[in-house]
Parts: sequence; structure tokens; C-alpha cells
Amino acid sequence: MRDVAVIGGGVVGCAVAWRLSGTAARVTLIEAAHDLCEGASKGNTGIATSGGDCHPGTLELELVRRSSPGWEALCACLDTPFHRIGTLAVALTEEDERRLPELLRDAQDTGAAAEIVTGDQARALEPLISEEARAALHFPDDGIIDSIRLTIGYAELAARNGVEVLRGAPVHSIERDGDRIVAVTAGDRRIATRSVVNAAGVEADTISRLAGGEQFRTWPRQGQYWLLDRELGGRFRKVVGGVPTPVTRGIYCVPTTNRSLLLGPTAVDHEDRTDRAVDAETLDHVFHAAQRLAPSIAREHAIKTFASNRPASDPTYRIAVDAEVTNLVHAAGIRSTGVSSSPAVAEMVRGLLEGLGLPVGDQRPDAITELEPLPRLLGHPRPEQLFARDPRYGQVICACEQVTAAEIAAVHGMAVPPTSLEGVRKRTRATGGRCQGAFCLSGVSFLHSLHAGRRPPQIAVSEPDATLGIGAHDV
Amino acid sequence: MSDRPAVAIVGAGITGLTCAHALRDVAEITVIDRIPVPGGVHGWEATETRELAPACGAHLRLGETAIRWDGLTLLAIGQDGPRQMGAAALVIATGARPLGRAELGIAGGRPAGVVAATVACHLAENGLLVGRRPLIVGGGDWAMRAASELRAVGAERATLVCPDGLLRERPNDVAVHVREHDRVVSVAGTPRVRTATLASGETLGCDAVVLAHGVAALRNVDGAVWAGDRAVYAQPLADPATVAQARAAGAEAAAAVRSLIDQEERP
Amino acid sequence: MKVTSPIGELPFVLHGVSLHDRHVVVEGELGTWRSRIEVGAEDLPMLGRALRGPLIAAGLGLAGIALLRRR
Repeated sequence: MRDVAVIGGGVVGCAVAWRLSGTAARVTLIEAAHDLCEGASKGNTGIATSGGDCHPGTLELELVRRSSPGWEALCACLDTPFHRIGTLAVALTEEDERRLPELLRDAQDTGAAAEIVTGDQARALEPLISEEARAALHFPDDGIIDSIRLTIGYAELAARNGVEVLRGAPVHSIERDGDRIVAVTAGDRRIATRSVVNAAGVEADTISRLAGGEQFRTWPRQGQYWLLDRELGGRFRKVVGGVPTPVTRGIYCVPTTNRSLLLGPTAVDHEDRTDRAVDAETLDHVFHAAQRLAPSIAREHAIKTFASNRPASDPTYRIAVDAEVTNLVHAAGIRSTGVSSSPAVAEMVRGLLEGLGLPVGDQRPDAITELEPLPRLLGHPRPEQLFARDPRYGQVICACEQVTAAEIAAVHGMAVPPTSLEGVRKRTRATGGRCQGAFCLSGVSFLHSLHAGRRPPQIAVSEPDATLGIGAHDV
Repeated sequence: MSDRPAVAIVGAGITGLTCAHALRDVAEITVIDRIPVPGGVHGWEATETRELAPACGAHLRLGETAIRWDGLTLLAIGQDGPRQMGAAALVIATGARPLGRAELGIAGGRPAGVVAATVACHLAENGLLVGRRPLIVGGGDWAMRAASELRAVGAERATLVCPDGLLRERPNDVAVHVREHDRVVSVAGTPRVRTATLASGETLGCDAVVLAHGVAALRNVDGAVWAGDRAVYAQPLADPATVAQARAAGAEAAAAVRSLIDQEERP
Repeated sequence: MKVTSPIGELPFVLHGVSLHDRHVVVEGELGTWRSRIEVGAEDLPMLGRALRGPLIAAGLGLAGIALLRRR
């Protein structure tokens, strides 16, 4: 019998698992896909907003504001890169410029640090901003974060503290007894549990329906992105965006924590939850919008394009006990700020579970509170120290991202190890660089097969049936 | 101790070795390659490699990966650990790769089974077939090699989709089909690729898409990716890059390095 | 000797084979990479089956012959 079954292995589900993992509760984290962090948490801009562009008076703002000051300390515990570099929302037109004072007042109402700067001041802060920029709204406390390392870091720490992590386990039925859930069946496991947390992202409405809970709708809001070269991203000092409209935050140029550059996202609501297709027209639109902000951006810097679906719903931020099912806690409808609010969402969910009588109060004395950082060769100031610690730091497997055999070996020893090449990429960035695996995919797959104990024909690119290839003599 | 300037060449293929050979009388050359044999794409067994490698007059550091250049020193790391070397100039002779999905403008999702030709061939050489019915984008050397290697390890048929038309003679294999002057505009399927849609409007079934079209320079030394302080680029962009092209690129780079060195030495 | 690997076909230069009580060690270089293959008596049955891993095929073949000769 588990105390809490958390459904959903994205940033919110993993944060909840992490927060509960230090308590006496017996927790199981359930993810439908072959690995954690396969939905919106994998494909996003990696901005940890300080909340300046959130709506005042909303739960979203409250949870983002509560999370914002703690990022440095939290990321140090979770071996997650985070840099509080700030955002510039750039006004390119007269109309944009006229809206800035109102946006500043809104920002000040949120409590986030914000100021209006002139075009010249903006360019002094970020020289790559267009000469056309007239003014900008500066949010100095925004940060960039590796959302994948954060999600996996939450889960890793949770697993080391005893949380059971089930991957490749889609929930297909939820048993009730009266107004309480008694069990969840995921994959081929029936999990008896005292409570359920619904952190299922785009499928949150499905989970609620399976439980006989409140009827609401979640749908995918698609965003398309470009990933650009590290050599360009490394020159950016700030997150650069346009002036947000009432509908969307707009398109950003985001230097990532490994110095590549993300452009995006768009925001198009659609119906197909599995549709992650990019199209030329949308990509062009994103590129042009980004180029208007920072003219140095050129197509030749592009490495990859992708699409990802954020979970939209109305209303957003449904973090509450279900009205029908008394032991179902929703952490759903968290559309754009899942990363930014995850620590505070996790604490809020913990509080709701405590209110239901679950043993999620005190921290266990033996609970571990931080992960040992895995040193990485890329950008390391003292590579000789790495080599002395493990000579496999001398074997560079992915030259574009400078990922070594030591790092690839280490991630296979994690509590939630990779089970696919995509999993190796998420944890190490190997094959994610400018050659997109053209020269290292075979080497990475060889090492993965060794560490994961898989024969070559069983190596999975992503889901288990998406193998890299078939044995030549198995045809 | 020699007072000749030091030059670092990354890439021990024909281009890099030719460049080293051309500079051997004016500089102390070190040639670094992450592959533990010389020869690059032409291979360690090629006649040119066997002649050039011992004769190029350079210190060969093979099996080490060059990772950072700051205009003064090059950091490389290998089985004996990291090593810094000071150099008056850096030559990047690290060859080329086929274009990736985003560069080719292939829309759609990102299903499994879409791989670069280099990957398809490496895997085939190790007995792993990326697909029984691969669709190969390209008409040059990479594409032809991929078609023949995949067929050799068991592909039932292969379809070449050549945006520029076939660059070599027609493959002599009835199971290899060719569509010239067409291109793949999108792929679909989940979790593995199942169809590819062409510019002509047709949709073809496939279980792998092999990217073998176009040529981009392969570069992975931080600080010298598009331009670098005192960095010279010697990368013939052709599929295939012939020995003659490699030699010419190596010679041209040597001339550029000579003028860099001369500029340094002039007061 | 030649060995195929994830990065292509490489020359394998044998420097020495040393026989120990329960295993054989083959030392050599894969190109310039130092390479060492240890073969134990428990590996012998595998040599009889079709080897799908060309990376160790050459070394195992030699070591297997050495072990068999020793018995």
C-alpha cells in the first residue's frame, strides 16, 4: 500500500515526488512514456521567470514568486545549471514603447524586480539587441535553467530517498471505493494507494476522468522552436524577448545553460496531443521574430528544430483536492510556468496531502538533501582534475558537446538511468550538438548498449519499439 | 630548442597532412586527430595516407580530441589526459558532414529512424541495419555508400531521393530506386518514421530516413567554430572530397598560415 | 590485424600475449589507443558461437587459441 501515487513524470510530478521523498510517505511516481521528462518539460525555453509578466492576484504568480528566490540553492542541490541573467522585453515599435509604462506597473504589482531602460541601456546590457530597439522592460531576477536536468534531478533525488519510479507505465484504470481512490493500474502493475496526485500534463483531464473526478479539459498548446549553435548562444548575456501581449509572452531568444540558443515558442492550441510536427511557415515566423530582436542570428547557426506541447486548460493552475474524489489532488493546468513554479507547487501539494492525513510532515533524519554533482568536461576550468579522478574523462565520445565516456558511464549508474539514446542525450547532451549525432551516435549507442546490458538490435532511440536498427542477420 | 613558431593542425586527413607537409620548413607542426589513425575519410590504408603520414614532418598526436582554442593555446584531451599547446596559428582540417534535418528543412515530427549517412554506415559496418526499407536523401558519395552498405547488411530495398539529381552513375542494383530532382519535405510516424513526403507531393513508405545530402564543415573546437583568432579553415566542401581537393585545401591553408606567421614576425 | 569499431575499421597491432593462471591478456594498440583484452577460461564457450561483436573477435580468437594450446 502506497501513501501517494504521483501520476506524471514531468517537472511538476518529479518536483512533487522530490518534495515528498524526504518524508515518511511511501511514494510511487508513474510515467507513461519510456522515460521521465518527455513532454512539455523537455521542450521549453528553460526560463525560470521571476514573475514580472504573470497576472497579479493569480495562484500562478504566487507560486512563481515563492519559487524565484530559491533557485540558486535548489539547483546546487540538484546538480542543475541555473544562471540568474535577467530578461529584456524589447520594444521595437512606437506602440510597444507606449505600452511599457503600463507593463511596468503590472510588473511592479507582481512584486518582481522590473525597470524600464532606454534602447541604448538595453544594448549596453545586451549588445546583440537590434539597433531598432527603442526601450525595454528589464526583469533582472529572471534566470535560465536546464529544465531537463531539473526534472531528472528532482526524480533522481526522490529515487535515492526511496521513491519508486515506474516508467513505461501508462495509467489505464483507477479503482474507487465510494469517494476515494483505492488503486491505480499503470502498465501491468496495480498500485494500491491512499492518495493520488494528478500531474499528468496534457493528459490531466484523462486521469481525472479515469478517477471519476471533476470534468475539465486539457489540451495541447504547441510551441515550435529553433536550437542554435553554442558559439552564438555563448555571446548572449540576457534573455531577449518582445513585449508580451495579453495573449502570449511572445518569442524569445534564450541563451541556454550550455550556451546554445533557443528561439521560440509559438502558441497554437490544437487537438492532437501527440502532434509534435514543425512546419516551415511557423519556423520562418519564429526565426524572423527572433532576428528582429537580435539581427546577428542567422540560419547557418541552426542545429535543430522541434515542437512541444504545453498543457493548456481553463482555468490554469488547478492545484486543489478534487471536488468529487476526496483523495485526488490535482496539480494540473500548469501551462507555461511549470518549471518556474515547481518548487512552490510541490510544497503546496504536500500541504494538501498533509491536510488529507497523509504522513508527509516531518523530514526523515536519513533523507538525503542533495545530489553529488557530476562534473562535465564542457567548459570545465581544470580538465586535469577530471582526468585524475577518472581517466575516461580523456575519452571524448561526442565532440560537438564534449561529452566523455566518464559522463556516459556515470549517468548509467544513476537511480533513474537512461533506457534509450534519447535518455542518454537528456542526461549528458551527447548527440545533441551541431552534428546531431552524425559522428557520435554509433559510439554513444555502443557505450549505452554496454552499460544498459542491451544487445545492439535492442538499443532504443526513444520508446522500446523505436530501436536504432535491426540485427543484420535477424532480417 | 627550435625557435620556429608552433602550428597546431586539427585533423590528420589528407588535407591536414598536406598542410603540415607544406609548412614543415617554417614551423613546428603538431597534427591532432580524435581518430587513432591518420587518413580521415580516405582512410589509413590509402596510398596517399601511407605516403604523407610519415613524410609530413609533423608530430602526430592521434586519438586525442581538440576541444578549445583561445587564440594562443589549444587544449586537447586523450588517453594520457589533457594537454595544452601554444601555437601561432590553428588549422581546422576536420572534414565535413552531411546536412542535418533542420538544415535540409525537413518538417514533421522527430521520429526515430532518421539518421545521418555516417551513422547508417557505421552501424552497418557493425552489423546493425537502420531499416529494411530506407529512404536515402542525397545523390552523392555518402548516399551511394549508404545505399550499398545498407543493402549489404540486409535492406530489402533503398530509395534515393536526390535534390540535385544523381551525382554519380546509376547504382547497379535493382533494389535501389532513384528519384531525381525531388526532396523530402516532411517525415511522419511515431515512435519510428513510417512515411516521408516529397516536394512533388508523393508520400513514400519507409522505416528509416538516411540524411546524405549537402555538405557542411565539421567543427568542434570551441573558440574556432565559425571564426577564430588566428584560425585557418581547410575544409573542402564536397561529397566526395577527392584527394586532389584535399591536397589543394591543405596547400591553400599552408599559404594562409605562412602569411599569418610572417605578419607576426614583422615588427 | 584489423578490427571494426563504432568509429570505423582500425588496425590492431599486437604487442604481446601473456598467459596467466586462469586468463590470457592480449596487449596491443588500436591505432594509437592502448588496448588490452582479457580472456578467461569462462569465455571459451563463447568463441564457439558466432561472434557478433567484431570488436573483440580478433583478440578473442588469438587468446582462445593460446588457451586451447595450453590445456
